[in-house]
Amino acid sequence: MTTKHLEKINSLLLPVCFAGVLLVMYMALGWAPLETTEGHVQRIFYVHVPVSWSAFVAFFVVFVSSILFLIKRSEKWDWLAVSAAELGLLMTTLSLISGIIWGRPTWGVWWVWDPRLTSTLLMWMIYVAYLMVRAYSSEAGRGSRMAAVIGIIGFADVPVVYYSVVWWQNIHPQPLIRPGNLELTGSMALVLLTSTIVFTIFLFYLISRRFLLEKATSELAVMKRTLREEEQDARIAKIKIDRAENK
Amino acid sequence: MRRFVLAAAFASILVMLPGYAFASASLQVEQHPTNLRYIFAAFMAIWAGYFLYALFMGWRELKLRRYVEELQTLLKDRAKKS
Repeated sequence: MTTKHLEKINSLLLPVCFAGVLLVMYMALGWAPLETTEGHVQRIFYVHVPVSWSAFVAFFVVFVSSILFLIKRSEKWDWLAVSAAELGLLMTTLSLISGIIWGRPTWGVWWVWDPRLTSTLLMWMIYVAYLMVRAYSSEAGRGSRMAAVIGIIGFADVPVVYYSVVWWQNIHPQPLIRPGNLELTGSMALVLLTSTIVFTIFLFYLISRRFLLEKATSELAVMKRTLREEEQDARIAKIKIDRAENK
Repeated sequence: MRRFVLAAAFASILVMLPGYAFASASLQVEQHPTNLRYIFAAFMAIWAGYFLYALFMGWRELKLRRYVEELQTLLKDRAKKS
């Protein structure tokens, strides 16, 4: 897929995302019925669950593209990995924040060291480390390779986060979406499904924009380096000619 | 990118205001603890996160543009010298 194709898809996706976001806001806040146990605060789930799902999807993209980068050594996989890691980190941050806000009226506290919350925080730290390794590595290629290793090993925490509520049953609610089973029914399920689709589309839109930005930055850096090297070569050649003429 | 950031800002306002109105209207009807400020805070935090990320991308694009300008100056200098 060329840059032009990706830009064309992006320009089509943007209005879809905004329309979808408006639809989700209307459905979550105005259309979805009241949940009898938790009350209105349950409406936070219509954004909290899709954001958490988006984080999982983004980290899966990091995992696959990191493997492909280490096998093929093609820069495009590295660009995709860093773009998805950044978005995954953003989604995890938003998931943690919205979860904390939901926890206060429901549990009476902002934070508990529940397995789900703790493993999510650990996942957040892993991907912060991923981005820090890239940012602080003295050699760009080495940083990318080390980050790819973190991206592959770090993905092991994603299933732990997902199954933490099943393995160590604690205060956090059980997963609403399970393979082949949706815990919600009727209009609540429809709102959650719509919201998940919209957030996933939005995620891919942002990943592709970030990918294009990373690609342009990387290509320009190579061009600048080549030009500087050529300039340096020209200077050395000139000095050599001057010396030869003086002799 | 500037268009993207502006669109994101516009959409955030567009989304938050009717969202708040929908919530206020539907929540006032039913006599249930509303916790509206928590709902508002959670939705606001999520859209603010998206908006800040859009701003960050805009800033990176600005840096890229400066990079291109630098390269153009470098190329012009080379052309003059040769």
